[in-house]
Amino acid sequence: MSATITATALRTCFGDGPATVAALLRGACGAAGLRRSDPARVGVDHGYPIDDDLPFGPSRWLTDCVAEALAAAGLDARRQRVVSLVGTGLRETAEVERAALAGSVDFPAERLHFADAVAGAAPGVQRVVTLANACSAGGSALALAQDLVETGEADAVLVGGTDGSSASMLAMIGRVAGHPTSRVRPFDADRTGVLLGDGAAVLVIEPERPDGGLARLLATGLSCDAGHETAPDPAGILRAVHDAHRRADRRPDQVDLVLAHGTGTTLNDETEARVIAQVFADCEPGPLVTALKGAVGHTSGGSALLSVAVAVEVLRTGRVPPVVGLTRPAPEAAGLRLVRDAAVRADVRVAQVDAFGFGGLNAVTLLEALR
Amino acid sequence: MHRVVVTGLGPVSGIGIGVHEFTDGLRSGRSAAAPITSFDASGFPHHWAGEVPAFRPEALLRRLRVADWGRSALFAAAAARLAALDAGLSLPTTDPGRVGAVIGTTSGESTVVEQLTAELVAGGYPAMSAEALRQAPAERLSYAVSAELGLAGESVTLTTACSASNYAIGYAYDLLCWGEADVMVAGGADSVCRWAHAGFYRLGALTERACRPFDRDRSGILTGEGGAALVLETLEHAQERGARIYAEVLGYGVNCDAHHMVAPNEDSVAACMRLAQENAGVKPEDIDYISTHGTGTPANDLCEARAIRAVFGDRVPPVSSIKSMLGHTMGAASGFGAIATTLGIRHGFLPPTINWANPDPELSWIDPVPNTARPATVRVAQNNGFAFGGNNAITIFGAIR
Amino acid sequence: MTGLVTGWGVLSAAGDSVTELLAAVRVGAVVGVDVRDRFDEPLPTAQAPAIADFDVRRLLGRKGTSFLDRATALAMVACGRALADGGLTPDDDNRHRVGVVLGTTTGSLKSTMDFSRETLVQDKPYLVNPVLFPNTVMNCASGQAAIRYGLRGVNATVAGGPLAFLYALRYALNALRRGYVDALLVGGVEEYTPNTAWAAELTGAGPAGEAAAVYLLRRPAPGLTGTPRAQVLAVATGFQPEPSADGLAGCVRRALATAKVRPADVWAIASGELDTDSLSEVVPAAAQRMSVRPALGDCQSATGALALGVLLGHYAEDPAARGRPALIVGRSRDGAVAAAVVRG
Repeated sequence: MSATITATALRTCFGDGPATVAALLRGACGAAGLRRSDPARVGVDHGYPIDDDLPFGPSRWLTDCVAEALAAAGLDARRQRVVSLVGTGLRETAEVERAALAGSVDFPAERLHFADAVAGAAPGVQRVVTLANACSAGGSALALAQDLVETGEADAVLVGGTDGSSASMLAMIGRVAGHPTSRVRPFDADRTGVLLGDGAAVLVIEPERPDGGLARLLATGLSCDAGHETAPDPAGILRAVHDAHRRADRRPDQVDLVLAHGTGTTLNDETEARVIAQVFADCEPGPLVTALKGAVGHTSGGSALLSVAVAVEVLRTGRVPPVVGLTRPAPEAAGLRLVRDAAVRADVRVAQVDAFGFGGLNAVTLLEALR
Repeated sequence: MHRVVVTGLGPVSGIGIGVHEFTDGLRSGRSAAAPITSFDASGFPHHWAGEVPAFRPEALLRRLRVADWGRSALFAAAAARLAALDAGLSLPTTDPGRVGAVIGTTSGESTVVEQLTAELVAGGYPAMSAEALRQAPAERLSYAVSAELGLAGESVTLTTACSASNYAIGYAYDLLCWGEADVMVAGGADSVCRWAHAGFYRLGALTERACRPFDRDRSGILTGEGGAALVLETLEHAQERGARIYAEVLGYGVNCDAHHMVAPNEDSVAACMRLAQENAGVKPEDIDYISTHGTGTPANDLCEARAIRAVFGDRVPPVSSIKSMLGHTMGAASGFGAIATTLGIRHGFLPPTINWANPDPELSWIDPVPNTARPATVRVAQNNGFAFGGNNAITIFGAIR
Repeated sequence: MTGLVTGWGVLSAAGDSVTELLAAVRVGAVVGVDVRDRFDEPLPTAQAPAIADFDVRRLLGRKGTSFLDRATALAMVACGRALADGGLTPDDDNRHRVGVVLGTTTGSLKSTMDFSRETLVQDKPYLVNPVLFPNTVMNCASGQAAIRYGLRGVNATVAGGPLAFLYALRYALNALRRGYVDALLVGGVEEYTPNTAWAAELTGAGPAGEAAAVYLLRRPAPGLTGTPRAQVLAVATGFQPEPSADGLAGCVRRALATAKVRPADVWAIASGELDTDSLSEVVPAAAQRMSVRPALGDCQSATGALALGVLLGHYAEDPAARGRPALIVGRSRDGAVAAAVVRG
């Protein structure tokens, strides 16, 4: 029995799923000045924000996505066994910061995670588990979801990823980069680092069903570098890629597209480009490579699922968005078939989605078109 | 009879939007006073007010279309949305008919009415726009809250002027006590407008830049604006859903001076305090703090201080006026007072009266918590609201036991 | 929670009694009064269902009445009549237990716009007349009525346009039930001015009407003397803008259930405007439907109060109707609904 993605829902700086995909295809960049934090104090003045002033952003965006995805999949959590897995990097720590800055420690701990946010939009959901697995959290959740569906533990799994930017995370970016960038430029020779994006994504995973669904979820490979807290390790990433290919029973030459992690940092992009080149060295012409963070920023815990949701659209429509922010490829990426400047049409049957997180957490997902 | 608790706070004010910013504003004694931007005030001798320039309704509202509603309705709905989020309410609830809204106001959609007036002046009555006429009725303030949050229960706007938020909190409290609802959103909203600015100026009740309640040299109010909302619910309902409880609503009292439309009446204000305390089952000595009406006019503060003295005798608790920070937010004023009182109980502090410099020898028994917030244990607190028309309304809150 | 209607004060274009009001509603044609000479400003129509011959000074005296706006004066007169009709004389023993609850839409739109207009047309924007400032607050009428009759109990103004009276009635029943007061003047008032006339015309709600209807509502108590004119058994309200919601019908069902009245026993429904088959899924088709608006125009917050007046007129003239329950219902453009159950 294999698993299928039967619905997707997104919230990004561009809006909902259709708005996001349309913006990606036209090569738009959602970077903007940050209003919610003081640039002078955190050292970062740009990001890819969802422009609203309400608290509990990650919870709200997730709730909206859950409601939309449930409706699209025609699921009723009161009548089917539905569980939910939510991947996140920062949870609702931005709210804790707001409370703390106001001199208060008055924050209900259960509102750090997303049980209420999911249950509010999915009455009857059996269990909501929040995985705080940094920036590959969505990929980890997807792997578990597939297991739950394939073993018959659940009729459907709502897999979510959501994150907003917290002041402490911004301050860390501000410290890491000497001169904080104003936009993300994945795989560019002159890339200047990463920026945070607000966003949430929800996928509905179900056993393959007669009326199809949107795409086949082949497999997710996981690994842990067990090396450095923040620096990526090519060996660890390679293990995740190989694990994914082996579980999916697909060869590198069957992969038509790589949706890269592509954060725009010196280290990630160099390492990831080398690994992609190595994995697909014997393939001719090799897969197309694109990345989303130049358009929507690094949506942290939401980023893996955001990439998966976009990959689903590519598998369905054959239209591949370009790497926004890329003008002059870095030397180590020069051999890759990077999609540049404008969207291209391609017959994409199998897509690979990379997601890497701090702590050396890697998740690589393979999807296949249902055609 | 059900006990009633406060589980969510939604301030949209000039010293902070959202409960955290507002708490920080109270603790640090922030001031909203600034030159008026919402209308051309250049012809007025005094042109400062407590506006909310950072208010962006489109960034706070999730369901309402901003163009369909007047500014006060948007304040009310945004405050309600923030309060619902703070309360962690899942909306729409499983039984929306058991959740309602009561909103108080002084001037309702004053900026819409001023738009109509400008159209009238420019082109006569037939030039008034139908859309503005549809937005003008005051009941649209509570309807905006109900529509924004998807509430199907009672939706009522109380137009009892500057104590209206306390009326709203009181009525919502009654409905919850009596089991007619599980959750109520209560509060108030008003917008800065020309006519109120002109009216208070001509009454001699408008100060130039700094509102300084209980100060010897106080010289009047600053007009202000905003939206204040509290989520109230029955204790059972709050406990069942594991909600964080800020404080309990112990009761309230309303009465009427039946004396003068504008001038306050000391005996009647004192009677209202006694009524509220009796309804709440507390005695003057139980009360640790009073959030006063404290407009900063010579007449109000003298009358209020004397009434406090009459009721509390030699044991007058600390009092403060957050109007020193916010300006007089009219129908929202006692709603902000209720939020400040609730926060004081929950976090153990007294909001300050800022701009205070000189004691008034006529008010020697008043400790106005001058200029700096003060740590304190607040078990029971009283929140005063008085109004034109002699409409007095006082709410009493207590720490949850 | 119930309340006894023990007195009325009703002023409308049809006259100063519920009998004349009922007669006009039965005819169902607009009661036209010549309004051409009332204002300097042009009006959309020469005739309107406005109150004729209302002389404030004759009714309330010269003292303190020269700056009253028309809505406030009308409310004060109606309150006085309701007190007198109900035989309640406020004194120092009872005045803190008697109050006023009035419905409104925007207060006096004319007072507010005239005041606001001065800030635009005067040499200096602050050259307004401060004596007129209290007329711009929406609780002006209830505050002035309290001052005139010395009523120190619960005093409230409830906005709701066409539903305002029903909201006020519910607010009043709550205050009685909670024991905050023993008696309340409950009503609705709307003035006819160029502002309301043009507003009704421009929004397609016309013609604008004018009315003040106030009732003395008392808590049922053993010592109460005299026969009440009717009893208010229950009021239910809700906000249901979605067309799919059960809306007014659901609201009526809740009100009837609270009042412990069987739908089949309902003998009449009074409202601003009702089709003959309105609410036929709840209430028998044979029940009379009585609409205020065709005769008296758009009286906004006085609408529900006039509907109660129509029912009281009916109970007074028809002994067979006595003891049978009737409904007052309303629905607003925004999707709010309300229903009251009364029994004569």
